[in-house]
Amino acid sequence: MSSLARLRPLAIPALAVLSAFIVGSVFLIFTDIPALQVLFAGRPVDFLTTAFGNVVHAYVALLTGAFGDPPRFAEAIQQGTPQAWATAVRPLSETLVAATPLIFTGLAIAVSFRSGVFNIGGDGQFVLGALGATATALLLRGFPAPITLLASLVAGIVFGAAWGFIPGFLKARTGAHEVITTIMLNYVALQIVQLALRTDFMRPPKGSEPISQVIDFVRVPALLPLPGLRLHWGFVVALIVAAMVSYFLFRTTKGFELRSAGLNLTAARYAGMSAGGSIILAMVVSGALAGLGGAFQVLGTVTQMSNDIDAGYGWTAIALSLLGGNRPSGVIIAAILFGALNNGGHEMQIETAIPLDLLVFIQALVIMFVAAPDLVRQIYRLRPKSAEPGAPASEGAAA
Amino acid sequence: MRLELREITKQFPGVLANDRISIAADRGKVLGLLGENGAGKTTLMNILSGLYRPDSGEILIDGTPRVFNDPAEAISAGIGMVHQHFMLVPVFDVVQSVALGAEPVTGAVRTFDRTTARARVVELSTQYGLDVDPDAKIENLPVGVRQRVEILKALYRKSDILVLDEPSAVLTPGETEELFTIIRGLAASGTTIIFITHKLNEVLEVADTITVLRRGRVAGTVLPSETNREELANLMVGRDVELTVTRGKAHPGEAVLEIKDVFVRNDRDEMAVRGANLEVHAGEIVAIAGVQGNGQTELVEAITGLRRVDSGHIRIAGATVDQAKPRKVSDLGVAHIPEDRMRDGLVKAMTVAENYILDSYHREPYSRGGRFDRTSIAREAQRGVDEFDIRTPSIETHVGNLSGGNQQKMIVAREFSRPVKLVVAAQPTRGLDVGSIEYIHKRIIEQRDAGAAILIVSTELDEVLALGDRVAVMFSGRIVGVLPSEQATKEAVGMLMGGVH
Amino acid sequence: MQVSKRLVALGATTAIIISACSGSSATTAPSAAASAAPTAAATAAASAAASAAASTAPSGAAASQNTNWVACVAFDTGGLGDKGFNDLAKKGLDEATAMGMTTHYSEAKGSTDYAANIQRLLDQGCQSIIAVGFNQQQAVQTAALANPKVDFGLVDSTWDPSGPDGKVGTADDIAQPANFTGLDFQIDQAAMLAGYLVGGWSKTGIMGTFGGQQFPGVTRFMDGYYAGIKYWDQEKGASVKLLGWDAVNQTGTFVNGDNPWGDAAKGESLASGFVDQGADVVGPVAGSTGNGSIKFMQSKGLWAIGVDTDQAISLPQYASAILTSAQKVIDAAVLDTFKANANGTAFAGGNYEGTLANGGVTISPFHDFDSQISADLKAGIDALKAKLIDGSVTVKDYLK
Repeated sequence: MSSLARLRPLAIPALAVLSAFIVGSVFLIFTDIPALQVLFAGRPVDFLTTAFGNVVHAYVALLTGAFGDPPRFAEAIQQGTPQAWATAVRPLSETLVAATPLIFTGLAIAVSFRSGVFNIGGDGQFVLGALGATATALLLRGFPAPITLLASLVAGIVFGAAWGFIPGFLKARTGAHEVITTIMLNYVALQIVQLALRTDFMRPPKGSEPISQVIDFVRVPALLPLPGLRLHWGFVVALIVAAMVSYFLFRTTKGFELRSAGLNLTAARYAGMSAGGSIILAMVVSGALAGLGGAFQVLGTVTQMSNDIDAGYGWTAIALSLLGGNRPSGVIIAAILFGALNNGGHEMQIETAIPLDLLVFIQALVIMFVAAPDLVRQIYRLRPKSAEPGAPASEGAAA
Repeated sequence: MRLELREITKQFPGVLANDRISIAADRGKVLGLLGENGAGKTTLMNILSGLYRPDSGEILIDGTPRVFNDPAEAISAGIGMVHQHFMLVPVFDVVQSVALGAEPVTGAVRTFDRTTARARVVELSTQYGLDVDPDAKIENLPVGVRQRVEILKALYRKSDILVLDEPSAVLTPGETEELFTIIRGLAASGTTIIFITHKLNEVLEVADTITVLRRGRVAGTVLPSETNREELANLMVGRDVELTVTRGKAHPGEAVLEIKDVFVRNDRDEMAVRGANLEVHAGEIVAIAGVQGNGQTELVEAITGLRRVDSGHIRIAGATVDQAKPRKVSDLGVAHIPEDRMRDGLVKAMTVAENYILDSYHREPYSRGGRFDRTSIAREAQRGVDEFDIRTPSIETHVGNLSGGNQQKMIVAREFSRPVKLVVAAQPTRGLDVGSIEYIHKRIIEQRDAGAAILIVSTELDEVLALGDRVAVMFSGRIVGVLPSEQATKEAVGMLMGGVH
Repeated sequence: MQVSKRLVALGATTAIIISACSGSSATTAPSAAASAAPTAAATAAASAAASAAASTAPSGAAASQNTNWVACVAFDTGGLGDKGFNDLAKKGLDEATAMGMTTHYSEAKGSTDYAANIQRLLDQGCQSIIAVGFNQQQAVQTAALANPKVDFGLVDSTWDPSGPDGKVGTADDIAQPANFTGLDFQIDQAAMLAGYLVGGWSKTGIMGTFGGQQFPGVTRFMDGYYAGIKYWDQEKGASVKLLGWDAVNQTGTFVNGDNPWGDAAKGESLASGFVDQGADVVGPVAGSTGNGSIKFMQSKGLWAIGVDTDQAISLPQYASAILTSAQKVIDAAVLDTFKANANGTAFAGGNYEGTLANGGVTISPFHDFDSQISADLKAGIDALKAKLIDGSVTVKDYLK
């Protein structure tokens, strides 16, 4: 297989992203009221230049906001001060900060999907993981920071895993559909968080607001030795965990059981595997991953538990797991893409006052195009996959 | 109408699916198109039905060259297809299904004119002897009748040329006989019929001429009166094939499988096996014959641990397995070739190597401490592929891309890769071509000669008689008779299968 | 059924675990709360004393207002369109734009965005950054300490001095820096007007009030209602009563418990209790718990007083029961803070104090009730408002 053919699986997602941006720009143009006024004033050429200019401005802001501004890099090289470097690198750092929780939840969803279980409860597992980590940190305040940190991370895993175990157990034992139970448990988890945040134990001494005390005494160390950058070791751990998940799924017997059950449950049963065991294991692993993501979010990025710790990570994870083909490597790429979109989107809003909803729109379009590969193939006149060697109609490769 | 295909060539990337194929069928005649899976039959029919366009060659109808750009043009030219997988809407009734897409309309708002459609359906079914209740819902009809609806559909569209793609694959022997009667009637009334199959008996029985395809080319065109099964098999496979595998005398040892007064329930909680008794000894093949649905499936599932025994006992190599899990049964040295290989035996989206270890992945040398030893897996899987002649580009190919015969070989290779005391094989050659059938039968006999006890369950009488050292007949949940192979004639077994003692 | 039982059991178990956790730390929590209260009260007193000066400063400088300024707002996850603090802050920002200032804003999707958005606004060259919502406190305070040349503000909150130990009054406390402005509101002034209105409106002569928990930010409203009713009684020789709050002894009805701010059912039952005792107007100061009370009053054809924002707008489904709201005018507060920052004028006490005088607090328009409230009553409210503005009447005078 040539190296170009190896890149083939990336073609559809890449073109899906491109298409989403093109469609997004159309919406940008037709919601650009000042530019439209120019059009209705009978100056279509001015309209086009203005509108096109605005789109370019917006997308440039998006890109520089996500990956950095070249002049700032130039400045950093010139000055060489840590401060200048921090400013130059910050957008990239923030993109990875935004990607970190998505990698964890994305892996969680990928594991569950690979196992044929639909964990829609990533949100609940994530927030409970964050809550467990916060509670542990507060409880162990005063112990040496590394011990507290480690214990808090473990607590995040345990809380998330427990929240995954429940729907897994219910499905294995009673057949209760996990889509329903996990969605419902999301609400339960949010209520538990609300409840916990109102306790004196969690709340700062002053004020009535449901927000925890700041727990920066157990902060996950920063990754880069530059001032004010939030990127922390959680990102590296996310990458390591992704490798571990990949190893688990593809190189261990348990992972093999999960994948077999996910692809063909009856064949897995015929082969002597335990269906119920696979379901529970998949949900526990999935929940643990999401919970660890929540723990890193609160211990590394925001240092304070609140009811808005979760920015829909569990839901976004479903989309990006699909985008990444339910592969750990794909999840990482998709998470960084979504992180870049989110991060760049904020920059775009600040510079151009375009609502963040446009980013949601673009994300939705990406998913839509990925989910409809034939559409993308039609648009870009790609050869259909089935026309690859050895697959004429129903007659197999071994013809 | 006379149909002729001349020098049809169709190239897919990497595969020459049709290589200068020429066939011809006269008005009112049946052309049998015989070939193994992957010989190019389906591609040829897709060209004929307008789904593909040939790279070169031409289609002539009554001597006039025709070009079909899409299936609609083929239909209007009088070509009707009956696919292997029916294309019917389950909640429609027969009249609706037949008329769908070519409905007569009436009135200003052009509503469906059911009266006209129904009259035409009734007329066609009497004319061609296709016995169908025009008002029955599709979902309530047996498979054989659904096929008649498909044929009616083609006739309704005034097809003069009828293409039947593997029509007997889904039918019981009785239904197949009825189908042949219908085919003969259609031919007699002037319809040209192309009958695609890989079953030798069928073409010999019903075709007027037989064209055999092999690897995308015409291997020969013969008349049924001038040929025989052996010659056809040779044309198909390209070498001599033993249609009935010779087997030496069995040397039965001690009982490996003991089934005593066993009762088993089916999924609807009805008693499907009601007091079955049977013993299978080491070194012998016991073949269970029976019409589908007499409890064979449930009995096999009970033996292999997939279904609980309601009462009675099953012992394998001395161990009671009434409530055992599949893994326990498999650990006792039981190889299981399941009835529905795609659903139960393979994970299509996994590779050949992964499927090869599907039920022994947890054992050494594949796994050490829960981690896979990829070198051992690759080595063993490659050995299985080589030993069992599984035609696959590599062991990393997804099993779903293999042909049916190779998939079944894949399962057999896996099951026989472990030390085996008992083989339970359900419908081991269903849907396979002669070459694959021969191969799998040989392997099963090898296992017997190596001392394994073999239990075969098959609805194909030929297979049961060819393999069974003893033939047991299952009827209504019981083993109603066990005949030694010398007494097991088609007639004797057939009587028992019908419930006549 | 089995499934739901298991769920209930599970939820209960988790709740027990959590309450157990909170129980174990109960020894430290009350002392922390106790130490917080005086601090906040002291802040309030200090700023009240300075309010006259503060309120004149911006208006006096209006003639030479510097508009060469980059003013920015960081919204919280409530986001634009919340019909609450975010939208009001946006209104203030738009007014700054209209004045000629350069403006930017950011929205947040989750708490991870707070610090990041403030940093982005800094990178954008913002000179004033006002954040909306208590969830941003930590992010704003950190940024304020790290960027002493940029002005920061936080809507409806003041500086939290507790240091790394999370406790106030300890050695590691961090003092409020000069570039931080809390946007604080003397809401008791507005609440006093609302109390006066109730005095004139109530048919039974009884109003009920309750709070989520006994915090200064809560009892300030209740003090206002108390003072307003007392002022009415003195002026008219009436005997309208307030249930649920005794301003003299600072005791009253509070929801407390596990969920003081989000328990609508509890809000309904408290309102029902007040109605049983004859009240026909209720003024809940308890977040979403209060929504339950307003709903109950509406179902009885009775009335309620809203808090914080014009709740007849933010809760349109209950508009027919909301007489008025004791409202924090966030837009005015945001704009005034930007103006002061731009001119380099510091607020006395370090915080913006919204008063009736500077338009930072008000009672909301009467909407549907406008035609039903007599001209006399309206005139009385205006008169009281004038006295509160010129200082001849203070809320404090009526808490005795």
